[in-house]
Amino acid sequence: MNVLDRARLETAVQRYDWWLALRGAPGRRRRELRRELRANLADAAAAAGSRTAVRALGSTRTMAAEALPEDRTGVRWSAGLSAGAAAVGVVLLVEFWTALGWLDGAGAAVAGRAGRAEGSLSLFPGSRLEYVEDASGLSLSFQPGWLALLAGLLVLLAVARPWRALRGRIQPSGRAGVARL
Amino acid sequence: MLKGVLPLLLLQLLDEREDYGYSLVVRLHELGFPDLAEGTVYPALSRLEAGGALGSRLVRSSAGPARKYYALTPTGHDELVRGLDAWHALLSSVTRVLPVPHSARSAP
Repeated sequence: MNVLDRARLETAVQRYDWWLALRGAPGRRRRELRRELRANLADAAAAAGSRTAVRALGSTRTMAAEALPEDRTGVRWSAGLSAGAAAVGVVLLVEFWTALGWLDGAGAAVAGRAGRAEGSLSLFPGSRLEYVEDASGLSLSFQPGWLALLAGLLVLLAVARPWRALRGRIQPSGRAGVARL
Repeated sequence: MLKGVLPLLLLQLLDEREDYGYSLVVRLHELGFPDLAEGTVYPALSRLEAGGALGSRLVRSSAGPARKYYALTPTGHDELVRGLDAWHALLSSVTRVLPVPHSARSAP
């Protein structure tokens, strides 16, 4: 099995794991299921090739849904962290491309003379850009601001649902109150 | 329809001998279910194990990662017996209602 085959199989395993995480599967159970799928895929790939082995699995989302009932009580930290990190990455990428446009404009404004341009990106609060051109050369600085972090945090909270932990702690005392009545 | 009977098929195959996921898929293909997807069999095994019908152990493999071998538990054996009774009862009721297939009628 070459590197490409291994990468194809591991991608399928990680996709499966992602859906298991989203369903709130505990880490230990996910490890077991990952290990089992990896072994089965290795055998299937040895018999029919990695592409066929992965295709025969069908949807990894459906597989995860059929393998485990969804846990609606646990906090999904690992899925939340992955989704939050992806959100930070996407916002930073958009911000970076926007900043490139700003720097192009600043360069054109300074136009070869010694000079300095400073500003921010209106869609990204807290961002700061600086373009300095002098005899010693060109200097660029870019601070992305806090929007990426905020987006990451919101996505993390939305996916991980940490309030489930609070609900778990509150419920027993609530039940006790009902019992006293 | 096959999904409903798949747990019963898996219990029967595992009653014959302990086995692991991909090998069970191959056996099912050879026994007349060539379109059965791996992605249907593996979750069914996980559900049966979670329900206590199957036990499992890891066995080292020279071909790759350790394989997870499943075997029937006493609960699984009881489930198989109940499932077989229910299946045969259903089959006899269905054959009383459904006509014999056209191909079978025209055979000499």
